[in-house]
Amino acid sequence: MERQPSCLLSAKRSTRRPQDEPTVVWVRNKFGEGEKQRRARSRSGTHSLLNVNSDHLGPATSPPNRWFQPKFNILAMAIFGLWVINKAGGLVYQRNFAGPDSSLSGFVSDFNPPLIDGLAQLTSNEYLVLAGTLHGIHAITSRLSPMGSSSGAQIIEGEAFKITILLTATGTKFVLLTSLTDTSSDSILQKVYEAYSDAVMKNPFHTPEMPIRSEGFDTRITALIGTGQTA
Amino acid sequence: MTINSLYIYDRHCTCVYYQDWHRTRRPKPAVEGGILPAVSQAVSPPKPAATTSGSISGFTSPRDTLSSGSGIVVALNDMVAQSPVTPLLQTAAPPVALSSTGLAFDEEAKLVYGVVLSLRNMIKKLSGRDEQFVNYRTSAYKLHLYETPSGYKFVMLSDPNTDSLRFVLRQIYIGPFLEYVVRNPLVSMDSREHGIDNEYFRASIDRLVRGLSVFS
Repeated sequence: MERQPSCLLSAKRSTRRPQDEPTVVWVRNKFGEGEKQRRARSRSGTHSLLNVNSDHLGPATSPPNRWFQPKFNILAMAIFGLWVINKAGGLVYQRNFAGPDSSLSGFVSDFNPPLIDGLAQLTSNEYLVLAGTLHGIHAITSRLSPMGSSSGAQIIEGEAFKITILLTATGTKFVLLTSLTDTSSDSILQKVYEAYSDAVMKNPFHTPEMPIRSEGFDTRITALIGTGQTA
Repeated sequence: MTINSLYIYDRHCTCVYYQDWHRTRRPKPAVEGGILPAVSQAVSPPKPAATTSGSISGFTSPRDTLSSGSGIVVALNDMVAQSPVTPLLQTAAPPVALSSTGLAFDEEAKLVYGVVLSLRNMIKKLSGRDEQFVNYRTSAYKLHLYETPSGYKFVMLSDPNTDSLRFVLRQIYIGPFLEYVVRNPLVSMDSREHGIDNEYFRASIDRLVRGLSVFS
């Protein structure tokens, strides 16, 4: 048996019912064709599952009996989340876009979080644990280099999304979760760093290394990333 | 563009095979008992010369009738001290002027496994699906993972600019691995006592990797 960190085993997921979400268009079609058609239609810039209009889609209010689970993300380019990790590995800022928290506001079922796209909705405690894990992994990866000295991990890729990490000179990490095809991660992280310097570090009421509760920063991030749909 | 090293882990979290190419920072040899025998001669703990004169093979199965006295044992590399350059491997001995990572091989292998496992769990957790971790990149290298349904993990380190090498790892699995490990009766898989290193397997992987366009 593989040993797993015990902290990752306690996956308690909240069980919000999908009926609470009347605005959502549910996808009922079979996997392959529907996805292609929606991709073809969504060339025109910003798109989300909310404004897709197609006879392949089910009625707007009723959730389907079968969960629709795409193998890959439907959205070609999307930003799913932003984390700021302080130099001790604590998560001081975390926000979701494009997936659970913004437009689709988190459908979580009790068996498997079957988001139509995007990432799973996790509890804040789980995000804290993941950020701590990432911090540790980042430190280890710089020691495994086969050729000369190395930085820590910069991009971590899964099959359908990637994690881009910006390590600042002070040890703060900016982490962006995006779809695999997203090409703007690095520039966005730089801009987030700028916003952080302006709206957080220059704020006299902010305690360094503590969670960021700044409306100014929130506004800047919203202006920068918006709903997470990059065209 | 190059390929640096290959690790194979079994489902018990232990490193069962290691091979490297073009590696400028090598690990120190593993400490005694740190790794299984027959993982890689390059990083195995140095042996006292006296112990090699005794038994020929560590395998004591009654069916194991091959010995290096009666024939050519090519199916497994064991604790037997062999001549440094075997005929099947064209690779020369590694150049001497290499810096060390400061880590013993067994420590390094554990770190690699730890990173891979943590990232794999993290990706699964974040995606909420059964999504696999594929690779990560730092400024100096890129690590690729391919996991078989049986729990074997193939980990390859390469130049940071290479594309995904998952297909290579899969080729190693369906080619050399199946041919010279799974179908090799002298290799006891899942034994927790022996690695899977043998001369044909090593040579076959070496050929495959050296034939790749990314290897130069």
